Amino acid sequence: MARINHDTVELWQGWQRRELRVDRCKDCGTWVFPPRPFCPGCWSDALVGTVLAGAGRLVSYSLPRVAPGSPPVVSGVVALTEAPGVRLLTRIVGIEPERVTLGMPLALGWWEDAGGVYPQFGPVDANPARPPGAADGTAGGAADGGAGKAGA
Amino acid sequence: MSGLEQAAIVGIGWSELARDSGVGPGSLVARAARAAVLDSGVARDAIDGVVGVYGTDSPTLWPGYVVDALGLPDVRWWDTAQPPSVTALSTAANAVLTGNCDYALCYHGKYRWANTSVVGRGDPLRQAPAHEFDPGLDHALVEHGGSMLWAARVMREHMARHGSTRADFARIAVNNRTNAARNPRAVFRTPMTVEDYLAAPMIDDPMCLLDMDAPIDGALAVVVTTERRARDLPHPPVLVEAFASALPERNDGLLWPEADGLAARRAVGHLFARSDLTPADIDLAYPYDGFTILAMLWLEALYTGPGEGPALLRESWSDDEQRLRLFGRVPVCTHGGNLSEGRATQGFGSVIEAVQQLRGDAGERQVDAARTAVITGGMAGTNRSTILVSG
Ligand SMILES: [Zn+2]
Repeated sequence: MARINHDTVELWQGWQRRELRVDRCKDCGTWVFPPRPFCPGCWSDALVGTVLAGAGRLVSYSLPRVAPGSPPVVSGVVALTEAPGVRLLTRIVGIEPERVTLGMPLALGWWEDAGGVYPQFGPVDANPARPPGAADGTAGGAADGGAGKAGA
Repeated sequence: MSGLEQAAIVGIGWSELARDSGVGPGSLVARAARAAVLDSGVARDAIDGVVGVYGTDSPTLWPGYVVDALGLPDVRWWDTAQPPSVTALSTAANAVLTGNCDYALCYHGKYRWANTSVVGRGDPLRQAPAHEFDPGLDHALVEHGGSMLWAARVMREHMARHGSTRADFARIAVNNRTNAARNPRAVFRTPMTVEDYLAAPMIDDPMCLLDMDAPIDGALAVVVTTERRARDLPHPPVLVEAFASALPERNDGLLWPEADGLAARRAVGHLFARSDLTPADIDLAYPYDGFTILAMLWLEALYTGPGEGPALLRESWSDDEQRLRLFGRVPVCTHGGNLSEGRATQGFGSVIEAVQQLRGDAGERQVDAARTAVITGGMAGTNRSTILVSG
């Protein structure tokens, strides 16, 4: 179960609605993530939640060891192109690990397990239907990576 | 440094460092602390300051436990610090220089918790720590991401940006293992080769088993006082020349692989700005090596431009000795680092080793005429700390 607190519950609830919302400073334009009490750039309190389409680029990734027979996991750091300075740690799905390259464009999707709905990313040209190896082998794995519109 | 009195390390001690010590974290810290006080020659009742690691997945023992376990009758100053405990050492140095206390006991320890090892999970007497490693991100935001092992992504980014290879990282791992063969404290002492490294199983590709320190049980401690008081004590004092630290620009250190080397570079810049010494003057280098990529980034911060660490290591590699001599001269991690002593040391093993070397007391590891050492600690979500010591 995800650990959430008073500062992150709104973000979390957005995820459950499959909505990636990032705060932006109304006064200086800085994107603010993870959730912070005010803009770290200009100290303004005027943060405005902005829903993103979820275009991203891969900053780096690793391939953690998985149980024998389990699908491979690509654990990636994704920079959001719509929100400079904002990154997410997510699974990269819908692509064979050996085809993953740094800098590749990515699109937002979602997957869920018993704990909730989480963002994930896949290649922009992927079949928007359910990508392979999406979840962690649990039932459901209702991932729909690639549903986000790249370059929005 | 500028005529001001300096703090001196006058005692060192450690518990057994072991995969499974069979004792609790309190016993480890108490044993290390007692050994350090005995080594210092300071009377037990004269220890009037205590500072140690307290947080994240460390033993989470506050100084009150140590006061009780050692029977210290009149402690008048105490504090706690986040690992790596190079910061605790600087806090102890400040305390004796300001007169908050005369003799400060400074400890570090780590334990093989249920959340850090399979053995830990199988032992009902190993409780979960009070805190878990939190790189500053709320767990909800990252725990689904597949891997919390940020250093693997830092390594990948370094390889992609600078063309470093696994063989480059192997030199760090092999160097440390070669040195550990002469270190009776070390847990991993069996010699290994670059080929052994390349054949090791991947844990989080590109990071293999031999790129990372292993969870173990252990604690280490030092006694710190002023240079003037140190003259009355049995060992030649080792002076704390300078200290500097940096915090990451972003608290979510899991996500900014390229930022790590930059912050290390900032800490090193501040360190040498406070000393008459330059990096070229240093005789012994102790880059933090919880992961080989971190040692690479610290060596780059100390000695080269970004991405030039692999070339430095290639030029410094001795095939005959199976270890590094930077610029043909400076040995690296003469004790074998965290990679050989285990994660319990978290860089504090470098403090113990540097003191032994600068005392001229390092046995068959002794480096001739070693007068100065630089020690670095941490990376990513933790602080980046650096300290210079001289004999
Ligand atoms: Zn602002």
